[in-house]
Amino acid sequence: MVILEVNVDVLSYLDALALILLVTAFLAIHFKNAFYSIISFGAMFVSLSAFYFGLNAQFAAVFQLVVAVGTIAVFFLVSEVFTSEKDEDETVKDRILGVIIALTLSIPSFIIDLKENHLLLSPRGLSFPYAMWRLRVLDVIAQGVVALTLALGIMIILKRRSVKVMGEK
Amino acid sequence: MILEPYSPWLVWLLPLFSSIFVPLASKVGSKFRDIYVVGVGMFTLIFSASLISMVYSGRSVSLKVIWVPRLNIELGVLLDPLSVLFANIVSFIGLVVLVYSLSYMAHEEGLTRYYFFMLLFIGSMIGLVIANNLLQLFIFWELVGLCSYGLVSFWHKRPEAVKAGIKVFLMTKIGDVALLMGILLLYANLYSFSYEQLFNRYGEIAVPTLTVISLLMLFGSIVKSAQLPLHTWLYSAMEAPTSVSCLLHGATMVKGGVYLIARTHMVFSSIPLWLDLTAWIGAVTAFVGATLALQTSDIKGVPAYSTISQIGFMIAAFGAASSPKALGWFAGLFHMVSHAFFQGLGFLAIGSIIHQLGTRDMKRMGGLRSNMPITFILSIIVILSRSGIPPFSSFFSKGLIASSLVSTGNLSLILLIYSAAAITFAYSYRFLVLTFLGEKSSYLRRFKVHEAPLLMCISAGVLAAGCIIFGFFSVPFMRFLGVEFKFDPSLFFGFESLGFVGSLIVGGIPIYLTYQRRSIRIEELKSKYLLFMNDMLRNGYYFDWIYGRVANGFFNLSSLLRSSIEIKVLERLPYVVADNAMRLARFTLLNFDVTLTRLTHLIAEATAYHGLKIRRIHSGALPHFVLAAALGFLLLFILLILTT
Amino acid sequence: MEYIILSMTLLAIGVYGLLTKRNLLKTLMSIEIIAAAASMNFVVFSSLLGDRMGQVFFILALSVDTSITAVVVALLLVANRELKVSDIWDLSKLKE
Repeated sequence: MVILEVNVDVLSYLDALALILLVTAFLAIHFKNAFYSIISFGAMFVSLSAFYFGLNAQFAAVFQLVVAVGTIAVFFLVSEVFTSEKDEDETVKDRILGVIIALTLSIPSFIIDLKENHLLLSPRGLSFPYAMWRLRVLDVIAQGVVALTLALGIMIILKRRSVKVMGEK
Repeated sequence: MILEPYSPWLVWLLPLFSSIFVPLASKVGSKFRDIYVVGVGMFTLIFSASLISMVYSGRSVSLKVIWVPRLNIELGVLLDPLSVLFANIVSFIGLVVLVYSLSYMAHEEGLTRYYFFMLLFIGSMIGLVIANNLLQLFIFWELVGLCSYGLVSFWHKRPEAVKAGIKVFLMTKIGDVALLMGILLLYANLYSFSYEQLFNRYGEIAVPTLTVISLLMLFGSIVKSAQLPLHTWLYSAMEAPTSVSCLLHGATMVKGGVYLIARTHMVFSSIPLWLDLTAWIGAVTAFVGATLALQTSDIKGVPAYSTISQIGFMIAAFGAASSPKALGWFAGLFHMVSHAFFQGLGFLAIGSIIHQLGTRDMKRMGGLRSNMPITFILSIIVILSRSGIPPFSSFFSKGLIASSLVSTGNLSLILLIYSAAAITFAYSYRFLVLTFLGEKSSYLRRFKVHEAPLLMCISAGVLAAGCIIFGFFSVPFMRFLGVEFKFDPSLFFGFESLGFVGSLIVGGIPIYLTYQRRSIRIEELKSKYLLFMNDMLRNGYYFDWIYGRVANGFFNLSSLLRSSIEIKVLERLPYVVADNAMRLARFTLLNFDVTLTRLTHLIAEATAYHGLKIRRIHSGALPHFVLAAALGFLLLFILLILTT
Repeated sequence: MEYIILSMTLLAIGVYGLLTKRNLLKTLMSIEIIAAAASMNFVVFSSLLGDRMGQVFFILALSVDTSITAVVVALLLVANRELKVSDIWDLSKLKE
């Protein structure tokens, strides 16, 4: 009881749900057995739904749950098709390793506090030209290259087509 | 009277719309068509006669409906003595001619067309005189011109008739254009076509403008009435059937110009130039027309030139009148009525002769007196009436014209009119001698000549009766027109009228000597002494020659323009343009298009080449894409951190 | 607890799955996880800011994700039947 009270103070039940979410998500990827993998995936969705419920977003939670049920059902059905025979189950050591990795991954979300460093992600300090030409200049250039390539490709296609038409004549 | 509310409209709408149903009537049968046509003519006469009581003693009634409100154009009738007089003359002569045609045209082809045009002719002429505005007048004016074209070219298989029709149409069109210009100028000044507005407000128009308008409208009138200088179409119109000529001379076509002058006299009599010009044109035309009639050997040429001359008398009388209340105006209208009678009668008589003989050449005639006694008597009546021998109507009207001209005091005008009157008798007498008197010609001996059919004689007799009695109705006629001046019947026996008769003797003696006595050899006279005169008359004073030269000049000009501009410039221009366009296109092809093609190929090949190289990167495996995306994301993240 | 970092961690897990796993089912699961991580932000921020509009967009995004999944599953089934592939690397042969 004492522990529970302490936990409630330090780690709320939402934090616990988030932890479960991350672990199940990682395990869903990690398990080689398709059956286990899908079970873990479903558990991830259930914990996500509960997480939403805890965030006082009941409607989203219910919707997420309903959709998850359908998705899981479909995955169960198609799992037979996509699993190959050569896959073998991993050892218990591997599973424990997966859990540990997942727990390790969940650490940053608990320790990092962005409230101090709000400049990093706050949109307020940015103007559009600044964001465009300082932050995304490479992106813009890359987009330009892509657009030019696309235009050239269209031109080539048209030219080839006209040559073909003239040849037919 | 019971017809009063309807007759002002029906009198012109009835013949106009009945003309459309002539083809339908002739489908039923030729007999029915004849009855139908004569019935329409009779009802038109009844309607027009019923108008007389409405306008007696100078009252005038105007009925109108709005036609185009925005332009102030109305459709209506103006009933005053002048219009009712003309309407009655037209419907009366029209009826007589229709009855006459039943017999005269009986064996022709295309009678449906003939009667259609006749009814349309009568209807549009009545519409012309009874219209209450100038626009309506102009519409009917054009319709009259159209009908005259259709009727002059009635024998469409004869090239002369077709040519004559076109000549009539074109020459009158010249006057129509002038008339239209005058009417539009009036409209531009008054914003109204109606006579009422014109009579009340013509003072608002500036005098130079009014002078121009008056001269344009005078030109339109004299062309329609076949006056100098554009009188030659009337002789060409003799190609028409004689009944058509009778209608055209007696009532419809040429009287349109007389009507317009009489109608606008009130406005334009304030302009001295217009009056002088009218009087001079009339007098000169009277003289010239009479001399031309003296020369012609065509039997229809005599009344044709006579009409030109007689209308010259009327127009001269109009020109001599200083206002519509003056003697000259009345004299002109009086002569118009008597001319309608005697000229109509003249054509009907000549029509009988042509109907029997089948030729129009007077030189091949002679001695018809014994074969056609009734026609002979009618012709004598015509001649006496036309020349103005006392008991006949023309004596009174010509006497009035003479006295009105004497009152102006212009000596040359008076001389012209008197000599024209003398020549009138001369050519009439010559016609009589050549046709009826003397011995039978070799041409006539070949077949037996009969008297004209009864119907033709009856209809001619009606007009003859009019010739004889109309002259005694001058005083009621004057009251009817509402002319106010002191009228003394003894005016007819004054110096002017008697001098007038005296002039006839002067004109008659040479004809008697040359043609009847043959004491003077006419051919010798012509070739020796009157060579120049003969030449002039034979060629109709060279009017047609001049017009031909003018027309030829236009043709030469147009062919010159065609050869110089059309062929040398305009036809070559497209080739030059096309040639240069081709050159430019070839140049562009060689220089620009090929370069562009090469450039495009270069870029395309370069892209394709590089595409082949770059293609190896593109493995098609999803993890590679995701890796690239993740790296990109990482790069961006680092960039973000670095820039902040 | 930072929810943004949480969703980024979830995203990272999905990306890891895409990078390392060759099984088609795993690939699909990874995509689903990525989608869930992305749409999670809607719910979290709507809940924190007290604006219900975020949930509406979440539902929209979720339905689109799900339908995409359905289409992809159908496509993969067709690919499996025609080409007998269960490996994502085999699918790159489609290029040729």
